[in-house]
Amino acid sequence: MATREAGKKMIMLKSPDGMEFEVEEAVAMESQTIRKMIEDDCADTAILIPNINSKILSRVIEYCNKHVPTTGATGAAASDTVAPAALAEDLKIWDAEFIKVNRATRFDLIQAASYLNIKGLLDLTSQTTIDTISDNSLEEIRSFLSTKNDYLPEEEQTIRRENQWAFQ
Amino acid sequence: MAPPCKKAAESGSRVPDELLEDIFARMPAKSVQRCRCLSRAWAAALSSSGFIDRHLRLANRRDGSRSLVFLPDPDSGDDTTVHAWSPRRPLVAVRRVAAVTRQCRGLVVLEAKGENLLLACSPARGHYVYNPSTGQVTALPEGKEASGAWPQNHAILGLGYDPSIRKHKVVRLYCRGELPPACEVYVLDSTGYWRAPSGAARTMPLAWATNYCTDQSVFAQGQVYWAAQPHKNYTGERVVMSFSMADEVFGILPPPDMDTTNWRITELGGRLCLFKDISAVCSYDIWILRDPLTGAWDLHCRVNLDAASPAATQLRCSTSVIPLDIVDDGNRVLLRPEPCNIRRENLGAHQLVVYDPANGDVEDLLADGSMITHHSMTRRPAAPYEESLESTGRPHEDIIFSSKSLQVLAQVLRRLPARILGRLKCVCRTWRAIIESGRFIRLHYEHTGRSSFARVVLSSMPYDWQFASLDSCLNDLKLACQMQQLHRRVVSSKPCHGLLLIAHNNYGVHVCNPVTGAQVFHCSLPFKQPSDAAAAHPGCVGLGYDLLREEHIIVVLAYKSRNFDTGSYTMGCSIRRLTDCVTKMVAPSPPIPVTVDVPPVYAGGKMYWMGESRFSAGCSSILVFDICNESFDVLPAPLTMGDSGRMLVAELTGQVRVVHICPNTETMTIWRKQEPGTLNDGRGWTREHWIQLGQWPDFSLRTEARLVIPLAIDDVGRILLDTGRALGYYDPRNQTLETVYPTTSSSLQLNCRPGFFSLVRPNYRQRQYF
Repeated sequence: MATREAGKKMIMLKSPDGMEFEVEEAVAMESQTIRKMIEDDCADTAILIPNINSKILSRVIEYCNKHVPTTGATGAAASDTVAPAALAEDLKIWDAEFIKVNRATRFDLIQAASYLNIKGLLDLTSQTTIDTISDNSLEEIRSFLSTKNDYLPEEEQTIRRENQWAFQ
Repeated sequence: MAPPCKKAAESGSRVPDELLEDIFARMPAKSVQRCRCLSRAWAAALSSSGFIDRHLRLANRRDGSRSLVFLPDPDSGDDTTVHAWSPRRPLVAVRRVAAVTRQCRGLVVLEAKGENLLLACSPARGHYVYNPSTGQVTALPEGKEASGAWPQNHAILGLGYDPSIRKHKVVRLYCRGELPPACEVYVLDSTGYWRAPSGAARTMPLAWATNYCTDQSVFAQGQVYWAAQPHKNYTGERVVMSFSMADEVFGILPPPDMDTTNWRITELGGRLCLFKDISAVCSYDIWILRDPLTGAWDLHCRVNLDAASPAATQLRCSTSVIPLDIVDDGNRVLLRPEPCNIRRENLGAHQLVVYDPANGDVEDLLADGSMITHHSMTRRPAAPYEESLESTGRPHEDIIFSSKSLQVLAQVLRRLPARILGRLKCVCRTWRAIIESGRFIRLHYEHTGRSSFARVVLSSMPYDWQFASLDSCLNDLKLACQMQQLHRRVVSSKPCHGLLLIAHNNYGVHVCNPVTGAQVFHCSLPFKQPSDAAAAHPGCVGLGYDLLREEHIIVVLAYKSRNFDTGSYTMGCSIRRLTDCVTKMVAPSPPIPVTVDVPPVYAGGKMYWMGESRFSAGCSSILVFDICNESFDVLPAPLTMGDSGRMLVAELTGQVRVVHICPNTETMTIWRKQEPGTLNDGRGWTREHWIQLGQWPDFSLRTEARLVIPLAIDDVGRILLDTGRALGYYDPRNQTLETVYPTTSSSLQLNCRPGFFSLVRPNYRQRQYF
């Protein structure tokens, strides 16, 4: 493992397109998948993250950097000066800004969060999609997710009838 | 592709790859499969669709030595194993199922009836595509609900091959009540779900496919055929119904001119054959369909078993024979006695013969003592199959979840409540397939079962249970009025894994999903519940969940006799799995007597009953039933001060609790299982809560409430208490109780059950819409 500063372990994350990201171990361990690898001593030099390209991986690291619990020497100082409630409020605003991305990026983020097992990021990215899906009509959902309605008219009628309970 | 044997050729071998491939194409499918392990190059070469076609052609020369599958005897319920036999290999037991279609390019559709689910490895109820040559089996997804008896509700499957897309198609004809017959199509290894046929018009079956044990669908010349009748309840004249694989359009084929209805269809030499029994003498007509378009039949030959050879004499003894195949370039016919006509005392008469129509000669193919003359094979229907490397395809759920974007979608959708998901099924076919798949239902339950907490009030009228959220009941006067008519002797337990059990004297045991409202009658109540609540109950019914087999199970525990004075009793336990609908007694009887006036409690794969304190054996003990192992165990209950009051088992946050309510002190004590390193009473329990109920009249054990049960714990740690008439949240931090259900009108009886939004279906394979 590479060590930049005393007391801070660094982890190298590699995306399949060849980019390398050096992050603090605490930040990388926001991902339960990576935490498990580190704890099982499977992460000597660099961890290859398959399926996640560098663009998405950099965004995921950005999220983890922001959300890593502020403990330790610098963290203690930070929590002395800023009240926890204000900190949470600040994070919320940051999250809202962070998630302002297009649909494709958001889906990539969901997939990355699911693979890396980062609960906060998965909740955040899924919730935005859930809000869209819950609040809109079927037609709007189809156009939002660019899904084609492949039902025959009678077929759709039948399915609506069978799922009457959901439309009440 | 690089020649697989390039290196071998350089090192001296002179056999060209084409020739080797040709040799491989003549081998049985099992051997080819082994050869796929030779190298990557050979694996690719021997898996190509071109090779599969070539193998199908070359490995199946019609020389009389055909391979047969032996299906289970329809009259014998206990052995449902399919055996595959060929002259080159001995009889092998395959699967515990029944076949419903004839083979098509080496594949056959089997149905598992589900009576024998004792072994965890045996397939569950449903339909499977099976390749007898390679042994590969893939489950088909559930089709539209059509369970029941023919002709009212039924589903009949057909299997065919569409050369234009190089895939097999399964056609499912189903019928529900008075609705016209309908059809759906599943393409193997394609989308992973059933769809409507794509034919422009005439996509509804024109007749009712019949469902006798001898009737299987037949695939020949690009069409799937069924024996059918034009009218639903009229069993007279029959026709042949066809479904073309390429256009997905139905047609009707009149049988050749004949006076009897005693015929069946089969496939001989790649063409549709109509086999007609001329009942007078031992003779049969074999008609072959010359042209599917014009519907012209040719009389291929007349089988006359009047010849004097000894083999024919034996055949004549069996009242009828069936043709299995045409062999020797169409010159001879493979015959076998009709298995259901072989008498039990004549089981040795089993034969497999080739008949030569030219001279009437009969040749027995089976040597004495051959495996298939074995008496256990005699009464089984047999069907020929082709040696084939055709794959039965990936499991349908793997197909649905194969795309990355759909995996992401499932991740998102699992967080939504069931009601919205019900609506989202209308977005498109893929979404519906995802939401209805068992994998998604489990994912969804995992998520909602942990986080969201919703209360459901059950307001019931016979056969019309209604479910509503607690808030809506309290705010909606109309619903509240309906609840006044709540039937008193309805017993329901807490929902178990998304489903709720309702037991009623007159209406029996129902299992329902409180969110979707889907409910299914399961069995009548095996005992009578007393109308007076204080009277002794003879038994209780509970709903549990088998974590291993992933299915619900109804557990009934009932006293056959009991006498509190003498201390004698007999008690039995029966279980009923929701997937196979068979009630069976549990072999070990419960080791201790238990109280049965409240339903048992389910937690973590086990059912719990409190021991009956009026019997010395049941005092201070809890009976535990392990659902997976079907075995009983006894746990010691926590000790209480004095004898007054009552012990109950309850489930909170998925774990078992013991509750003691004491009218003298008006207190309720709740224990949970001991965690290591905590103080306990020496019997494995830790006291968790101690609630003084006396200060709230609605919950006072002396005045209003006979029984107070903790129902659930909400997100902030408040305990929902239920007296049957009042509901309230007890907050352990400041020891306050907030009554949520008013008790001013005491005639109103609530039956409140906390529930999670879930998509679990009340009876799995029988019902499509949850």
